Amino acid sequence: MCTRLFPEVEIMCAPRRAYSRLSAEPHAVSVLDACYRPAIVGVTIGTAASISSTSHVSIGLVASVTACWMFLVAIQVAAAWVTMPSASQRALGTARAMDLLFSGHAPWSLWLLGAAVWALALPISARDTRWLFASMIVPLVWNATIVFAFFRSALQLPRDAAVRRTIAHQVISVGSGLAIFGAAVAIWPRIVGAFAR
Amino acid sequence: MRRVRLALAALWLTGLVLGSISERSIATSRSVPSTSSGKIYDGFQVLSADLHVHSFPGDGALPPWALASEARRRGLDIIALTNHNQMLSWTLTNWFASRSQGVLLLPGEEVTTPKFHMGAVGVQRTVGWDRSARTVAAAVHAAGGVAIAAHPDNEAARAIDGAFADIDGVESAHPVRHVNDKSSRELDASVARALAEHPGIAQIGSSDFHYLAPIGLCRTYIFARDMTIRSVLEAIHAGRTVACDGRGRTYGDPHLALAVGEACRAAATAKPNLHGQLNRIAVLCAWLGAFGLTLAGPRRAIE
Repeated sequence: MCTRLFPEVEIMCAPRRAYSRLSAEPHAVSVLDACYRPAIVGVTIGTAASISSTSHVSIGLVASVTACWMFLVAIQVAAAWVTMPSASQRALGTARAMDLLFSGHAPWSLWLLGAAVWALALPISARDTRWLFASMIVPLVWNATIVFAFFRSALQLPRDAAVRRTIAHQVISVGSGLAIFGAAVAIWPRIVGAFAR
Repeated sequence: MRRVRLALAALWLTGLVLGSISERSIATSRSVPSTSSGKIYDGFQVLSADLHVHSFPGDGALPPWALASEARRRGLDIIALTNHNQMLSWTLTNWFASRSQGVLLLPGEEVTTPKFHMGAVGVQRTVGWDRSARTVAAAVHAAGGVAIAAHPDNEAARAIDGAFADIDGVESAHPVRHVNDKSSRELDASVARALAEHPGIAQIGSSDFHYLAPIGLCRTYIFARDMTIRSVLEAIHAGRTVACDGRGRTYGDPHLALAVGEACRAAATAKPNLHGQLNRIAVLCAWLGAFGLTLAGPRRAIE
């Protein structure tokens, strides 16, 4: 199960051990290579969102949805950029570090693909979105653990620094997502309404 | 391992190509068969509409042009873009065209207030949300649109009570009907109050589309003079609509309902999920491809 063939699987199973091993390997990662995993994340978002919202895929649909939601990947790249120590303070180059960090995205990607199956498999009357949204806690915690392992083992930061940077990374990436979602659903009138009751 | 990734990418791409072929075949014979589109009844053109659709940028998954394509696939003639308290997607739509692939796109917003939600269809600008139902309805009319009480459960209906006379439509058919009998009974009670206050109020069916249920699940049949924004809004204002839910039940004027009953039942029985063998294979290929690519990333080690 926890094969060493694929970094994503290895990182999900044992993040710290995987990052220690992977970061110690001699490697060659170009900027183009570093774009591969963020692109796969974008493609996964586009595919999963197309399936969950239409039970259908096509080139135009998936390309459109991927292009629209690629900003979520951009936020994660920005979060990584901001929270990683500067290049002079770490052993790994920026491209290699980005590639390793995005190797830990699988929990979120799998959750999205799982949500697509959920929408396909259940009849409308059985779709209780509260459970679906509650299940986001799993990738949230799992990914935070992976990000911590990345800072601690791959970038070899002291424990306190790794915790601080993990929190900062999650605040930027998850916090931005929540802020955008909050704005999209007009959260402020809802908050006012909840307090008025 | 590179071969594995190439195979997975090919699988994903095959899914997309098969899906595109399936879409093209549906374009010639819509997935929701024989809707009322093109039908004339009593001198009016009968149009199938979803007047409560969330889109990107907003809390909907799809951008307007993809929604138009999906609406066509689901046998809809008209959709209204109704994001919460903003009209960015309509601005985006204007960059392309308001009529896309034969589907008429209407501007709109879902005015989201602390106590109730109101669909504002056809408005040219956003409407302030910190107001009473009557004031919001007046502002919607002043902005050139029609006001529709959105998913009026008990609590929202209480906030709108007394203002239904100023409101053009009420969502009688909404996916909330499919959640459980209690929700359906609450909706029935709210609609009954709306009808008591405003007997000619337009009965509206909407999917409240976001990202996890199909567009056009519930829909409205509009009896309009022609397929223009102006005629559609006039028909809603005049109450010439029939709401249709996902179980094939109609709500509204019995004579008009009779004219679209068959189309409503056909729309309800056309399964949105994985319609067609080719589409099933396409979705499976795309999903498996994406799943595999997610897990089978490259190792960067120099051997």
